Amino acid sequence: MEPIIEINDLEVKYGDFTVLEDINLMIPEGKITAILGGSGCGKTTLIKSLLQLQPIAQGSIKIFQTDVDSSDFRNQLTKIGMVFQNGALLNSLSVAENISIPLKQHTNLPDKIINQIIDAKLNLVNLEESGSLLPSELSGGMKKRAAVARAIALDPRLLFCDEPSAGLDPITSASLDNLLVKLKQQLEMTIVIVTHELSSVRRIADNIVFLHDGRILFQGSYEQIQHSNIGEIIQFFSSN
Amino acid sequence: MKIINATIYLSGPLTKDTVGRIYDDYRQSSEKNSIERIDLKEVYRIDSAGVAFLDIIKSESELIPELQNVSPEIKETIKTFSVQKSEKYREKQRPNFFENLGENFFTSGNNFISGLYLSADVFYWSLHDLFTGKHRRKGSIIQQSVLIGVNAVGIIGLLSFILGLILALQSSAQLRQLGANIYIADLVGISMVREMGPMMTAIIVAGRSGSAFTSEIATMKISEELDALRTMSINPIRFLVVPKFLAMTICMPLLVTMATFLGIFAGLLVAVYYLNLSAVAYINEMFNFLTLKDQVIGLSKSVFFAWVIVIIGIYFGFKVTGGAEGVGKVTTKSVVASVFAVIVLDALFSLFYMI
Ligand SMILES: Nc1ncnc2c1ncn2[C@@H]1O[C@H](COP(=O)(O)OP(=O)(O)OP(=O)(O)O)[C@@H](O)[C@H]1O
Ligand SMILES: [Mg+2]
Repeated sequence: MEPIIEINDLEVKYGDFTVLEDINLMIPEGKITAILGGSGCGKTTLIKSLLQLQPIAQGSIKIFQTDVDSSDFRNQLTKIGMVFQNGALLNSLSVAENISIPLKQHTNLPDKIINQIIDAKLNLVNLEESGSLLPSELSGGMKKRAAVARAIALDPRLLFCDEPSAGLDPITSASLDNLLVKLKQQLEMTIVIVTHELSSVRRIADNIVFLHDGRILFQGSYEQIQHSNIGEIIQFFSSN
Repeated sequence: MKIINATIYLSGPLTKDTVGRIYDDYRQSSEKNSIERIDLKEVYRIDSAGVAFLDIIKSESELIPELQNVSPEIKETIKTFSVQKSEKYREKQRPNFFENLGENFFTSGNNFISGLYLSADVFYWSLHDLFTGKHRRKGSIIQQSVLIGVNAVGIIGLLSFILGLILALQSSAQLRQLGANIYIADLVGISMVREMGPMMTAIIVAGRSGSAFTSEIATMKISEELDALRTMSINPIRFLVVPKFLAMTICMPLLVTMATFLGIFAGLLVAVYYLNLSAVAYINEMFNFLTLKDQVIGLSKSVFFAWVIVIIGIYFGFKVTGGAEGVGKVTTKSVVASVFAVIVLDALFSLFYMI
């Protein structure tokens, strides 16, 4: 099967500071891939550079077999959802309006259906009562969940989540995990998730990528990574 | 503190309250480069400042000094706070004054070029989306018009009225001496319609709305809202800028018209109560003197000013870097730049219409 994301020799810099180098990675379709690694190792940067939010110094990235810097790719963006680490909700709009933006911009659905979809998505993240609140009226974890609802508004084929469960209690976090698994199974969504929670990695990840200091140290399944003998990985797992 | 036989003996508490003094003694001693041992026998307390001091002793000695007589508790504290400056330490080079100057010169050129690109983008999408509402939120033009236009009516009206009064009072004293009272109408009319109305309005709008555009977009950029829009395949220009651009294009000529009227009205008051002219004479003289061309010039200026203010406002917004403090910086820059641009543009207009 063709990989849904294919990264070759990627290098990303902030000024003179190299954040990512030598990244070669294939992300399989229809699977949940978890990106692990210490704080500041470049996980967010990796995801952002995949979506061209971060200029790349070198290398190539293909998503859906299309080069991300080609003009064809722009039309594919509607098939991709992204949950930002800080939520990135539009602060001047209510939660429901935030979710409605992609629906109104990229579909011709009547308002009634759109509202129904919004309710359904809010329900999936347990925010059914908060649709009319502004982002500034939400707690940190609620913002995260609202951002998830917005990212899945169009049922994307590919979903990126930057630490969706940071700031959530174990129960909500587990229900978010369940949601991701459902999305994978029922909508055949490919999910790339950055997380620090090993328990949720164990529960949901089919494929794990371990980043350290801007390089990939390991790629494989949860069983494989547990038997890895790379020092940084052992340390990461034992301290969690 | 004393240094005997290449051993530095420290005593007492080694904390943020004492380290300063001890460090002074240490710095003045001539043997500090040849220390081999650090004796902590009489140190009974240490904090992170103390550990930092030990680290400095270690790094300044040409030998590799070792600690001796360290109690277990102090050893733990040292382990926690001791650092070797890492090789990966990111030294940020701060540019000096001349580099900054050159950089500024260079970037203002770049600013102009990228400003042109941005304008092209904004004009293209504004025309493109003028008749289709799909890429805006419903009512966004009206909402922007209220913010830019309606809410500014009071302040712009008041200031233009005062401006008209000043103009008329200043000139009427002179005109009176010459017995040329009636020319007050020409003077106030022409300056309000062609110069003061458009410019005054533009400067206030730049201060009110131009700065608001910049800070809104800049805030959205640093909180990643713009990135979020892009990942939703939504062009921020169409979604955010086009409504502002269209609303400004509509509101500025209207505001300028109102400002001009109020300025002229203030002139009328001065003419009637100070120069003892009749209102009818004032109005007649004005209509005889002002031509359609003056009106067109005034209003066309106002539209150009509107565009310049929008483009500069959003340009600086998109250019923000850093965090919340960056928003303040670009907002200041944007207001200065747009007031400057409005005045320069006004001068160019004057030249252009003189020929
Ligand atoms: N805008 C920026 N300018 C300069 N350096 C940056 C910028 N953003 C991130 N970095 C640097 O890039 C490196 C990687 O950052 P990144 O945000 O990708 O880390 P991360 O793995 O997502 O960390 P975390 O788990 O804490 O979110 C860090 O060393 C950081 O200092
Ligand atoms: Mg991150």
